[in-house]
Amino acid sequence: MKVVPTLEGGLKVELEADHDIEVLEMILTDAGQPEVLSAELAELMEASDDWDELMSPELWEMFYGHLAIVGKAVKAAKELGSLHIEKSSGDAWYSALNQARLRLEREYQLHSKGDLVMEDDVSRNAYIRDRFYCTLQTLLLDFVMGLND
Amino acid sequence: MMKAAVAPKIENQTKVQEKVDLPWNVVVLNDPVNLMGYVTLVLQKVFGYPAEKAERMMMEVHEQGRSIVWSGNFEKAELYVSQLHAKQLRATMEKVK
Repeated sequence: MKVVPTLEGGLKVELEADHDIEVLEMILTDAGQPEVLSAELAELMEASDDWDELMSPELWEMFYGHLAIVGKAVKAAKELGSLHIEKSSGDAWYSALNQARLRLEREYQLHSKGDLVMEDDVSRNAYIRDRFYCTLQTLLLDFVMGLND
Repeated sequence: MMKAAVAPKIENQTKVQEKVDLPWNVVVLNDPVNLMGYVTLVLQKVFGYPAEKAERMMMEVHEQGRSIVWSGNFEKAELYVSQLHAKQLRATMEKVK
């Protein structure tokens, strides 16, 4: 897999190996249910009684929307042989990758486990995916997302 | 004498008004996932802070686990927290002590 910035301010991910597309498809699997993330954030808002009821549905709908944009792009990549991340969908991509990383952290405590994370296959694979998603996020920050987007 | 007696009253009123207007802090909490550059960008976008100020607050979150990023009235604090949650930052609000 090779990632290059485009002249239009987006990213192009060239798929080189058969499993590249599988890795990209894992973003949606790893992101899980956005309701969990919005409920977690609502728990922080003790100051506002009806926060969960009023704000959470709007939030998880938005998170679902971001996952849908990513799902559509990954599906198109299967046919094209390359993935195109448009500048206009940079935020959605960052959000979907973040949802995936937050869920992996919730599930496997990747950061607190340290080297222990390498001791079993499932955690190690989760760690490697987290690092890949993080690299993509860094590229999005460096080349796609800006103050005025 | 009259003037001197009146002046502290106005000052007190101002202080009381200030408490009514500025009773809530918006606090960003640390998490192991969000990237430092992203937190800085979000603080710039949501609050319109210059890069240096946003970066200073981000470092405070990173090193001390939390940073008060804004203070003001309840409604606006709620709005800011909702915007930070939309960006998946762990944020809350607390009454100024």
